Amino acid sequence: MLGVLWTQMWRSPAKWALPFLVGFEWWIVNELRSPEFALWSQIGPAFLYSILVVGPVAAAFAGLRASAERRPSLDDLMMTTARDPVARQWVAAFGDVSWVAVAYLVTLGSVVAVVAPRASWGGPDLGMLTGGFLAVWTCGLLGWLAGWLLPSRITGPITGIGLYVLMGLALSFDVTWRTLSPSGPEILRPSEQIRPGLGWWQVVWFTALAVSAVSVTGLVARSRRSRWLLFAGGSLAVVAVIALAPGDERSLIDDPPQICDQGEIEVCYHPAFESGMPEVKEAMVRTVSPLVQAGVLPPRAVMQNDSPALVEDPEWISFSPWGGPDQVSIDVANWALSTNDCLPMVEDASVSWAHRAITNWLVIQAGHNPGAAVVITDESGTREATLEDVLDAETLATIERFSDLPHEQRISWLADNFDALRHCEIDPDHLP
Amino acid sequence: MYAVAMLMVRSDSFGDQALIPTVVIGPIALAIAVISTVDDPSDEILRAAPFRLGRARLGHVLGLVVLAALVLLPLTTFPDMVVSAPAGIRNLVGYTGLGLVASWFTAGRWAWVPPVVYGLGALTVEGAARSGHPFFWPTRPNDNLTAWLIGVALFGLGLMACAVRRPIRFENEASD
Repeated sequence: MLGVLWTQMWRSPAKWALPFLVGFEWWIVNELRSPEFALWSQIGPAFLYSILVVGPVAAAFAGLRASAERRPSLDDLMMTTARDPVARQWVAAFGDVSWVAVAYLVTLGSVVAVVAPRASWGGPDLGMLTGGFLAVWTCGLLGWLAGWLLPSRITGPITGIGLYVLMGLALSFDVTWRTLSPSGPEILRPSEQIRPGLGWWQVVWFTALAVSAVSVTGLVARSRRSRWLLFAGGSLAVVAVIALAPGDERSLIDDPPQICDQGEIEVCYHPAFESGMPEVKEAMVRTVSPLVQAGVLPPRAVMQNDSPALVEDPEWISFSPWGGPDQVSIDVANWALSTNDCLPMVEDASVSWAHRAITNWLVIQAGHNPGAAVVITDESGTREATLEDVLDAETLATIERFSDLPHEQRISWLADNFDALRHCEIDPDHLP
Repeated sequence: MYAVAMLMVRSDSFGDQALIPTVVIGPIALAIAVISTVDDPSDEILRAAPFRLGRARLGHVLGLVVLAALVLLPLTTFPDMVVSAPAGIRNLVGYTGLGLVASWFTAGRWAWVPPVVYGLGALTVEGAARSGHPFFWPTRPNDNLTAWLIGVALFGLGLMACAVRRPIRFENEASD
């Protein structure tokens, strides 16, 4: 049987799609995860999301093969063979779908090879990764079923598009039953967990769908064993739907003890972020360093899982590691100079341009771009904003003037005016 | 297609971009319907024809594309959308051109692969990345000149391919 499968694989035109599918899988998975860190929690959901495209492609290939296998001349020929004709047709479909499955495995192997050496905490969610692999087969076999029941050269591609629309709608509308779609689960953070066992219930669901699709074709071809297969597949599907229907609610897990690096500022963070932390730490420390030197912020920073909460009298500097060094610098500068009644990051009308100038100066003196968080879209395309895009001439001139002051005078001014800054009570007259 | 568009617009979650999935994905199905009819069943017919079949194929494709474009017209009933029927027609001609060019290399039977993989990929990738890059032209607004140029250029290339030569046919490829 393996020899026949290999022959069918080799005959399949889907082999030419292999490099493109691998390239696409690689691209989308790396687009969805944060490449600066090696986080296992992001890998499973990213691979499941990629099924949104590779699943329909598998369905289209298999559907087209099914249509070809049901040509009248072949039907007559197959009736004369000793083995169940439908079994041979299944092998033909497996030949096509297996190339898409190979693309999934090759990409998975490559991503694991990149992530594993850098990962410092946790492990891959085998349930999700297995679910993704089975989802490729399920989509392929559903395409096969459609092509087998309605043989036509457009059935396969149209079934693929239909599957994409169904999966996309489940994703777009954030419905409770979105977990029935492979692309349903969202990207997780290391401190989050999806409902325990959900990945394995998805494995059961995709297996049930695949078995049912295969057995329906067998049933139409009057294969006796198919009745039992359909019964088994249907029963499994019902159980899986009941288990998956409550959705993919996430919950926080108990964080492990944080790692603390000593230095000018002690920086503590979740161990999963160790791989990309040097760049994040450098950006954060350089941004808040003038405030620590002024004695207005404590020399201790603690990583937060979400956006850090604003507090009146912080016991430590809170920072979020997401978005790369520029974003970390912008976020920590905004956090340092904000309170709940003074929010420069949401363009609070009470915030003066003088306040914005100091916030942006903190980012600039750390060597980062305050416009990094802003995307400009114009006729020439999309680009990261420059200083001139996000700051007016008056603010830029103020930043320049502040930068030109002697270091001691700047630190002294920050020490004297920190409270006024954080409460939106600074105006141009206060500036040196 | 209209039902999905209605669902997206009525949800109020997507604003003036609610038609993007319909306008990017719907024309793929229409383009497949056009491309899959271009394959000539036999060399004998080609050789025995009293005139070159390229012209007939050209007329056939243009006629079908016009009919397919009519399917997209109901999308004009949704007002104030940045991406709607005009972008749908642009995508239809672009995908059709892509498929017709591909049929030179892949045979008519497999010519659907590039529009399907490219269209689904463009929406999925751009949905995640929001880069605004011209490579994802099917997701661009109705009045985006670059996207129109790419779509029309692909269609022109496809028509040329279609007029000059019929889609290749592999030796062991059976007809339906």
